[in-house]
Amino acid sequence: MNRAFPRRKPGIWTTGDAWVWLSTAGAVITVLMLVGLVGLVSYNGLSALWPHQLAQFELVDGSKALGELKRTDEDMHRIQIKSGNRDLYGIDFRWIDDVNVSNRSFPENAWALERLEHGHFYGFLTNMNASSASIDGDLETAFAKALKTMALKREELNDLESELASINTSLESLNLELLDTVDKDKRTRLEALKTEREEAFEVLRVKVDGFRSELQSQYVTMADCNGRTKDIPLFSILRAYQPNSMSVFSRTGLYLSRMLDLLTEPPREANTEGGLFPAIFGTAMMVLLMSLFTMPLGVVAAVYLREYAKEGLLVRIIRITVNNLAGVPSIVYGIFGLGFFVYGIGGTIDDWFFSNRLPTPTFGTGGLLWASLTMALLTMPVVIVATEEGLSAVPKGIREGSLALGATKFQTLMRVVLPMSSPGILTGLILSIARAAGEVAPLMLVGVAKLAPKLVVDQQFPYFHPERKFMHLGFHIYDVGFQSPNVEAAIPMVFVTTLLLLVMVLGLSSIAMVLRQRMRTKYSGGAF
Amino acid sequence: MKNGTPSQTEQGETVTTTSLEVRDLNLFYGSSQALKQVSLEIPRHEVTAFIGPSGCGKSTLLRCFNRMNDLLGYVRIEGKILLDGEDIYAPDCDVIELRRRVGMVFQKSNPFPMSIYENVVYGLRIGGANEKDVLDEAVERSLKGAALWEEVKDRLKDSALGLSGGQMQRLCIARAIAVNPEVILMDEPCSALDPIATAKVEELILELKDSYTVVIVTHNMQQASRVADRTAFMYLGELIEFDETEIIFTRPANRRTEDYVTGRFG
Amino acid sequence: MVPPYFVQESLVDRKTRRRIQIMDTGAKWMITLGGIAVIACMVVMIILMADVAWPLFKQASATKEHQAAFVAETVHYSFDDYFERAYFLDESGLLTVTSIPENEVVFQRELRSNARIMSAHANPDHVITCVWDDGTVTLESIIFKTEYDDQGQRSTRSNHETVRSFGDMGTGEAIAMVQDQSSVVVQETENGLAVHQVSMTEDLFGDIEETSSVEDIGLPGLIAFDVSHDRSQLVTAQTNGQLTLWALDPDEGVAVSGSAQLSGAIHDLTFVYGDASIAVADDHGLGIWMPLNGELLEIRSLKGHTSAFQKLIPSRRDKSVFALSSSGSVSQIHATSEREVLEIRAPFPLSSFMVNQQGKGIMAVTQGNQYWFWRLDNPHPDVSFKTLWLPVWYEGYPEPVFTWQSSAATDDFEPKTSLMPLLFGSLKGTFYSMIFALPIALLGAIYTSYLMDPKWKRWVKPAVELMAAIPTVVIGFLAALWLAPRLEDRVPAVFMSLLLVPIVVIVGMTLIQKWGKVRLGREFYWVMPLVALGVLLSLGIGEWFQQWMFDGDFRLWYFETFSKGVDQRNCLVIAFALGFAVIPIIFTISEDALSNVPAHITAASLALGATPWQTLRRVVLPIASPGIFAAAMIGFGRAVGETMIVLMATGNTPIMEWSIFNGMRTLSANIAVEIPEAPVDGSLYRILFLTALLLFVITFIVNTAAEFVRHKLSKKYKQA
Repeated sequence: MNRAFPRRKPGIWTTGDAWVWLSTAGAVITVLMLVGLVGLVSYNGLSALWPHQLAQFELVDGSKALGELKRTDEDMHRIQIKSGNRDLYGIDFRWIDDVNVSNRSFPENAWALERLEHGHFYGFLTNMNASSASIDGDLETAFAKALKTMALKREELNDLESELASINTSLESLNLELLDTVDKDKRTRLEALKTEREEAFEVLRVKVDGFRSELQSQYVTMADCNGRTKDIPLFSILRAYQPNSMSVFSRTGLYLSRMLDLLTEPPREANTEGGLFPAIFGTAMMVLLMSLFTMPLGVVAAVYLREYAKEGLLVRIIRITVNNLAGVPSIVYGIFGLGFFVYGIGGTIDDWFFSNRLPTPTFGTGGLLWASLTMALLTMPVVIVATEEGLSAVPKGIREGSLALGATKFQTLMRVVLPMSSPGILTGLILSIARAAGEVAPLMLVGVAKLAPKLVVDQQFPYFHPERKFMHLGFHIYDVGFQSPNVEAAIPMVFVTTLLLLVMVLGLSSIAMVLRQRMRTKYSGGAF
Repeated sequence: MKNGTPSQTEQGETVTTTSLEVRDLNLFYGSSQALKQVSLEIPRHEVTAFIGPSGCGKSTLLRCFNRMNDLLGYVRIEGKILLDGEDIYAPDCDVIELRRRVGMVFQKSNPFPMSIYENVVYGLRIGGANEKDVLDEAVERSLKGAALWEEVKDRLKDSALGLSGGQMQRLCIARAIAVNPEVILMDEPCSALDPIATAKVEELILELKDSYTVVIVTHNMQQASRVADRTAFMYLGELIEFDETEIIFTRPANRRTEDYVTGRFG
Repeated sequence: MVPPYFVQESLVDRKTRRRIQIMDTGAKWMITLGGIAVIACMVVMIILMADVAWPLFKQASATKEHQAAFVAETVHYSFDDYFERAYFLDESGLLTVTSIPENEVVFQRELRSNARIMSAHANPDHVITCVWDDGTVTLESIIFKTEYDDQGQRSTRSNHETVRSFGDMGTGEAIAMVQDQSSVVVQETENGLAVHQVSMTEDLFGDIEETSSVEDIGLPGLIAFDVSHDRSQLVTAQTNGQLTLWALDPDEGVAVSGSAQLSGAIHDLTFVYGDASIAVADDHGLGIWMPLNGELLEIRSLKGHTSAFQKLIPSRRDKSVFALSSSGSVSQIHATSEREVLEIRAPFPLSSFMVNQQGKGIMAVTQGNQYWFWRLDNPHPDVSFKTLWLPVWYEGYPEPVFTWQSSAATDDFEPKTSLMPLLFGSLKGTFYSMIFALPIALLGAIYTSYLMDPKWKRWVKPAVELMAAIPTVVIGFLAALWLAPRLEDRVPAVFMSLLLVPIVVIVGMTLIQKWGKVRLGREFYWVMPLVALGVLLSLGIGEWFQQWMFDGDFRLWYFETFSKGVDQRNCLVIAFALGFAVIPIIFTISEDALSNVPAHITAASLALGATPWQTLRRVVLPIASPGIFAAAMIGFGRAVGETMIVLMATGNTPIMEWSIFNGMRTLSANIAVEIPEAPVDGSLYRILFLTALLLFVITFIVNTAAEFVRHKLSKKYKQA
């Protein structure tokens, strides 16, 4: 044997084994943190919509408590339940000490009602007053039937109300037009039109009011677990079910229908109940509009940097600048957007074109357009960097091949280079969309709203209203989780929103990463 | 000078003692097989060359000798490789120890971004040697052994990245021999060098075989014929022929070997 | 000879070729223009933000608007906020209102007949305390009614009203303040001051009870005195340098509430808007004095003015004081910022001056009864380098402090806009999060890049990149509403885990290795359960430790021991949450740096028999260290600027406290918190832009440095 040195048995620090293990721990903790976060959000988000069983506690003092089990506090030996019935109790949650419980059951006939206001009602059906459905046979079927009829009527009412709303908006625009009009003839004509519409509005309003009060006169009498009764208008009941007697299938059905509502319905009760449709729509519109700005501009900038600019100190500085702009805090973009777009450009537009509406700002306040532009600026570096990477991945030989055939630089660019680097461009776009969808801080300054009464797209001319404020999923999380009056009741909703946002952002990012990976392996040689 | 102890084989021929022995080696990269049933014995204190067209598996085989293929992670090996009779793929084999005994010089010279001195003593330092006189002695011995001493003795503290290509490669050789290995593997050591530097390295290889077993992979058949005592011709992962260099180049037994050495393909 | 095929017609006809040429050139220009425009547009960001912030530091300016002559000697004069009406009160009690540019008399009234005015003092809101030679003191109010007609044209109507009249007074200088039926009249007498107080209080039965008192205070050598707007304080100065603050109360009478002895001669004094501090002009300049625990303390000063200030008039809108210097110039000095905002000089020395209600205009008398009007442009007198970056002794504070409190319910509140607590908050959050994130991210990157089984690395790396994409609002929400309440009860366990997790991992792995070799790259199969075990152990032992050491409640114990509370949203939560956001960035960049170390170099080391760890430590880490440094820098930049997490998971209290158990407010969160309340173009608005600019600059410098280091690194190893 030909050994240079005798090898003593080294310790774990000398061989580095200990360090290896510690570094393993570093990687493991990182991964666990990611998995933990995604798991936590998924679990809470997915279970928030699940119809849970209603537990009834008989307490030592003889009273009862009914509600969904929320969590158990091992240390304090107590259980938290969501007892609902905010209109009766004032609060949604209550703690029950284990020592006070004499019996726990899951009554089959307990109902859970989802209502337009005051949150859920948990209790028992005692009586019903519904004109349309006569109570023949048992109460439960009649209740279900009445609810079905009511759902149809509610649709009807909604249609009437939206008709009312459209007359109202046309009246508003007439008023604005009147403000601008000086011509006498036109004025009289407009005024006649206005009176006509006002009459139509009045007629319809009376009709709607009558219909609504007719609907609201039907109610069902529910009793809570202690026998306190409450008349609940059928009109305000969105959904009623008996969670303790439901099969897994009907639970799943209910779960799915809730999920559908979540995606298609507007929020209720200060955003803590109902759906997320306006927030999803707002996020999508903002991202879409942003892409319209960021895509062409980002690609042009990247093409300039990579293909047209002469390599030199200037280009290097610009490139470093662009890279750095990606690291500039988003709030800085937000405040820039506020100062430049909203007050600067928006204020000027208002002065020039909408002075008759001042001091109420039109463009001189946060809105979709300004938010999109701010986000476009914020994500521009992402697009530029990714596009540049895409462009530089196109081998020089291919460019030369095209040029050697007599193609101009522009032709080469359009026909060869850009198509080949499209995965890079797409990656940049998707990454920028993912970033914009998740970024909240700048939006808070330039146009996101807690509750936007009108969508940015509607039937009112010109159908697209980029000056309006909009709702955003990320801001929804912040707002509902931190600004709502009843945070505890809102948390399940926040988790659902979080899950939705997370799925959206991580899904988009994954697509971008797969694309980028494909692009890299396509053009790069082997390794090692 | 051959200081290996001669031994009798069953056939009664006298051969030098085997340093490395490969038995029925099969190697798979994932699902594709890179080496097929390779068996050969590499004699001690001789220069053995592997030749063959690109992708024939000669570098792969070389990397098996110090288990560098392990690093790729997706390599599966069947069969045995014995170093002095010990299976280097046995579960209890210490890879680190193995690599200290089987040094390697790479196709592309790869000095560390440190001083010349630190490059040479690197292997000693990681083995725990820190005494200055031991290190100084090893630097001088190794650099002399790599025929680089005269050129760099005055600038041992300079960065190794400032050397010329040939010097860098000889530095890598010095680095390899500093730890006193038994075997030195060379993976196309001259492919990136100019003819003069190549000549110097080849000269060095001939000197090295006095103290070490040298295994060299080369593309260059003239180089094989110049430096190697024995030559193995590989093709598509198979060992086609392995014999004295002179025989391989003048009267190979296999037609494919003949086609290759005469330049009919490759 | 040219071969025949060379003369063949080109496949493309000339016209098309021209078209293509033009398109190419056009495209070139368009792209160049577009590219430069896009990039320039981003660079313009800095300029625009600086442009908004810049007026904070701009010297204020005064423009001379008009000049008017008024014949008679006046005892008082002033003008309105629109520069439309000026009024003059002469000794005979004749009030004359003129229109400003035209200098025409629009209103004239004799206030009293058969009496002359001895002295007049300007109260706020164009109210004048007049002392008449028959021993009457009156309060005269000049009223400007602004009206708008159908066309939106503004017109001003002038009127006058005598608010109150007090008989049987002396003839010395007086200041009278009234509200409803209550009043205070302080009048100079031969040997001091006479204080007349009347208060009306309504008792339970609706009967009005009148309390009145007259008190004489002996003040030899009285130089100046001022009564606070709320009639509760009187301040006096005497020739011997004695400065005294008196508390006025109709029931209790007059009592000394603080005094101080100045070394130089006092020239004038006045209460600063808000009545919480007093501006005193003496030989050395202007000092701002404040009562504190029965003493008068000079909390701020403006020294070294070329000539001493003779006459002071406070602004009625902010904490500015206008001062006439002995050389005849008028200065505006802001009491909080200690800044001489501007100095007005006329060709001739000014002998007296007045300030209009908004503090935006100055009217001054020069030689020959010439009245000059200046319009002031002084939007941000309250901000100076000192108020932003140095400790300031604010009104009501026992010592100079760094503090941020931008607004309060009252108008006369002194805004406190020190950026130090915010910068401190940013750095504190970043510091703790980096302590948490750096080791984990770097160790993780090291393991993933070099030691992990490539089969797994293919999944871990993208997973961590995905982690970087998680919206910070999600992290912030979980940190604040999920993690914070859970961490709150388990503080000892958290600290325990810092120690226990590594120990459990190392001890566990040593034991595992005793009875079997762990395959390289697969350590995490074992480490994962060990980490989990470490965490569980810490939770258990932490709880036990809490019971044993801290009587079951660490927070209570901490509060009792250090008398400082443990906030629920504290830096532990921030370290974790912000760390969560930063880890993937540091991880990814340093992993790239490590992976980019050329394989042939590591192969050489391994071939020499180095263990992977030795290779890492001796070869890979030194080579990749600039990249790792860059990763840490970029992580730092990200943490400094992160908004949503800190907005949600800190209490947003701008305190300067290093304790990990307290929250803080960062520069970025401050912008989000304050901007909805900031009036456009106000001082707060501009300060917020300044902080944004500051954030921009910090991150820009950090990122540029990182980029530079990385660039150098990649260049160095391209050649090797």
